[in-house]
Amino acid sequence: MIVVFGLAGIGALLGGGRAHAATTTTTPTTPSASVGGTLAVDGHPVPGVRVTASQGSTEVGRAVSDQRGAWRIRVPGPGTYKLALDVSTLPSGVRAERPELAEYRVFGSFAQSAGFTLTSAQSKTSGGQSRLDQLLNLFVSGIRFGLIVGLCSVGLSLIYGTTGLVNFAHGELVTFGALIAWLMNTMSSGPRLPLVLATIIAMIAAGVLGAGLELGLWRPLVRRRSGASGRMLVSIGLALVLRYIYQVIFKGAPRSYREYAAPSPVKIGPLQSPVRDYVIMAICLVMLLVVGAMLRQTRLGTAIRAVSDERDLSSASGINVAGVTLVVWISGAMLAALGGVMLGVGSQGVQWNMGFRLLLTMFAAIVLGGLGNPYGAMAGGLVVGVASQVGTYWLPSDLQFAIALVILILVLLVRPQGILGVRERIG
Amino acid sequence: MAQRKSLGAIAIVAVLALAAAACGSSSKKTQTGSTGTTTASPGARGNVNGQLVLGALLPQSGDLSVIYKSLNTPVTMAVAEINAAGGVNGKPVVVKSADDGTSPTVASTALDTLLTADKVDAIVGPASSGTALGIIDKIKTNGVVDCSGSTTSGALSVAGGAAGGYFFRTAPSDNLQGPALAQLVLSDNKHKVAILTRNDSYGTGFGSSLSKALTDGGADVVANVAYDPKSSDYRADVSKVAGKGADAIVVIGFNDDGGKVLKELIAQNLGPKKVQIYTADGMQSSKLFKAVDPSNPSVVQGIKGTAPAAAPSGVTNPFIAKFAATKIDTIFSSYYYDCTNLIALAAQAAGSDDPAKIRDKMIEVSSGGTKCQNFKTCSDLLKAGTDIDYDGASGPVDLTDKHEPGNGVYDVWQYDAKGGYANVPGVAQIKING
Repeated sequence: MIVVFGLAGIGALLGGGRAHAATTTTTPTTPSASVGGTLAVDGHPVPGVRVTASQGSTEVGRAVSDQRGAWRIRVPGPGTYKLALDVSTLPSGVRAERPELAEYRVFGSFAQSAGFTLTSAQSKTSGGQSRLDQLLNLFVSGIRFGLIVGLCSVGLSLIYGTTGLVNFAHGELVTFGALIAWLMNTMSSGPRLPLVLATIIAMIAAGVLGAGLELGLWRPLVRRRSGASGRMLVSIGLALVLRYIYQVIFKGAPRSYREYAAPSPVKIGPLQSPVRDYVIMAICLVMLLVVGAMLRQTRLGTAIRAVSDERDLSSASGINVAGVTLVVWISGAMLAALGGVMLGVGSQGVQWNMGFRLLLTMFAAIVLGGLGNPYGAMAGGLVVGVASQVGTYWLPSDLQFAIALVILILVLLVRPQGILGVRERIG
Repeated sequence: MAQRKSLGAIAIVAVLALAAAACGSSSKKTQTGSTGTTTASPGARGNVNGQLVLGALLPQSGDLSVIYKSLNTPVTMAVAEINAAGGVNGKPVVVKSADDGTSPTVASTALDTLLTADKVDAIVGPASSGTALGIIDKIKTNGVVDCSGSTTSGALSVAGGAAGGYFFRTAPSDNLQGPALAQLVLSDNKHKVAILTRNDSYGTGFGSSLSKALTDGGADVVANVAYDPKSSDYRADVSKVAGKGADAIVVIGFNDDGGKVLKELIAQNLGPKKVQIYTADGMQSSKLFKAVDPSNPSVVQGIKGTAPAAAPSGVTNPFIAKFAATKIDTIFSSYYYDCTNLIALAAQAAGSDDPAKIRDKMIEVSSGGTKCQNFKTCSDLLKAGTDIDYDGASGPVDLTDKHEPGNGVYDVWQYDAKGGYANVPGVAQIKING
């Protein structure tokens, strides 16, 4: 009883495999229930292969694949069947990965499909990346993420250094930059500027916000002798207020910029990333180096480092501490805004809580690198970024930030001052 | 010293924040909420007053807010028809809207308002399975009828109905959609399949049903990754798929998280132009492309999927044409229309707005009896003392003892170059018998 569904079977397959589907009939034993498939190896059809369907020890139907490799067997109706491919009918050198499907279920009365995977000696075993390539790609993506974290958290570190404030609202500055750039670049009723221009505007806006926060909130708080923990709590409150204002205005959904949203990757040796990602890395690296050089080489930078080291002594020696603090707020907010755009242009998109999600990572980075040290933020960011990405090669990706925080704990056990931090003098 | 002190403070706050985050993510996975310790006996809320008050608990915000109109408009349309036909038990039906937020916590608060302030007798919604599972205890303790037209998780398939029999749904369980999607993948001759699912009861439930159906059907599931829908970075999740040489990738998620996964797939050379990507109802939206690349609607072109059929072939309910005229995405619209009608008919059959009595009539009006297609005809038959069988817009809606349809009819659809979706021409709907 060889049933070969010649043309009708092929027609069904070409038409997506269910030209026979009977959606209006409800009787379970309708004769139009069938199972079939196409046998091919390395892209070539394999004819003349016998497939049988059985229930228990009773064979209910069989078919032989035709010139196009197609086979189809009528079955009595829904139920569980055993499908077996007769390996003795395969051409020599061709192997079936699983010649027997013991628990094949027929769900209804339409033309169902079953798959037998055939391989030959020529078959490529895997079309995917090798292990080393995967690790390398994760490493590069870790560096990219680490540089973005570093860029976002330089301001957090400098603000802590100069004012002693642990700013929990720093993540909202990151979000602010990304959102302003989105307004300027993508919103349909907005000016729809190129992203580069939108980013510059976002940075300026963030700088204004940073200055406003310092002048309108933090300076008055310090003047009223608010303690470090009091101001920290204020920053938590501020973070909540800003974050939910963002949510009300921008709604919960993630958004993409209208440029560079989903570019295809280019292959450079084993590395496979969109050009966009390399540009992001270059921008972050250059900005971090510029910030570092300015802190080392310029008078303003020296003043910032002086205030950071000894606030009272710097004040006594004639440095305008208030002015320095204002500059730190403005530049820190601008860098955070730039970091926000860099983060938002990547796969995760722009979202109301994107900065908040990054906050813990930023804290980990600056504590790891050494509090108050801008190079520390960069070094810590890189360690956290690389660890969180590369670690997922072995561990579930849900654990990616847990990995980074475990490293944080381990490093602090050995070097409490962080990687680049200077041991505090006692007394 | 000051520096060291604040270092400690940071550590404490960071640990607290982490703990909060951990609680947040684990509560998503718990099957039952810890709410509902109050002892309010069913019906003691003062809601039984002869007038049927419906609460529409639907996603005005959150990951599913993009399909809000598709879910809410059918409820409004059904209630307008019901009230035009004279209402239920002689009184017009009132609808109170609330936001389920696509989140158990948001939905739980909204449900409190619906129960205590609005004194609803029955609820339509919530949209997602994770949300429904989070409020299921509260539905049970407060004894309020709940009918959802879009929760499809297998975890809600309970003999006698979830929530002590108060929970109903008109959308078929994913235990049926998994095999339907597996059949679509197999019929395209794809044998090496990677699965990426949202880590909640919808995603993982669908994923395991799909994975089993694919394996039984002869395909090789080379990766099955559950990703955190709140994650900021999907690079690592997608990397786990990149090394597997899959010839098909299935993404089971919602619009927002799914869009991000698609972006990352494209960045790792696994985009829709390179590998055949499949998905399901959770990512069926003409706005999906905006989450991927707002300036390029064709970015999602070629992605195929299944979804509970909004217009099953052979169904002639006039609602389908009426809703199509609104130009709103049709996803799940028919199922919500049917939920609303079923509750109204059950209340009419019970002659009361008492939730316990409505609950006991739901299955009866959905199956076995004289067939009727809209509230007016059905309620006229009920008034004449006839046993009715409501045949809705989503199909025959014969609810089983699990309080859900026994069969699932699924559309096979595809995204086009304009970011919209349509059923694949020439491919019939897949009907899976439970």
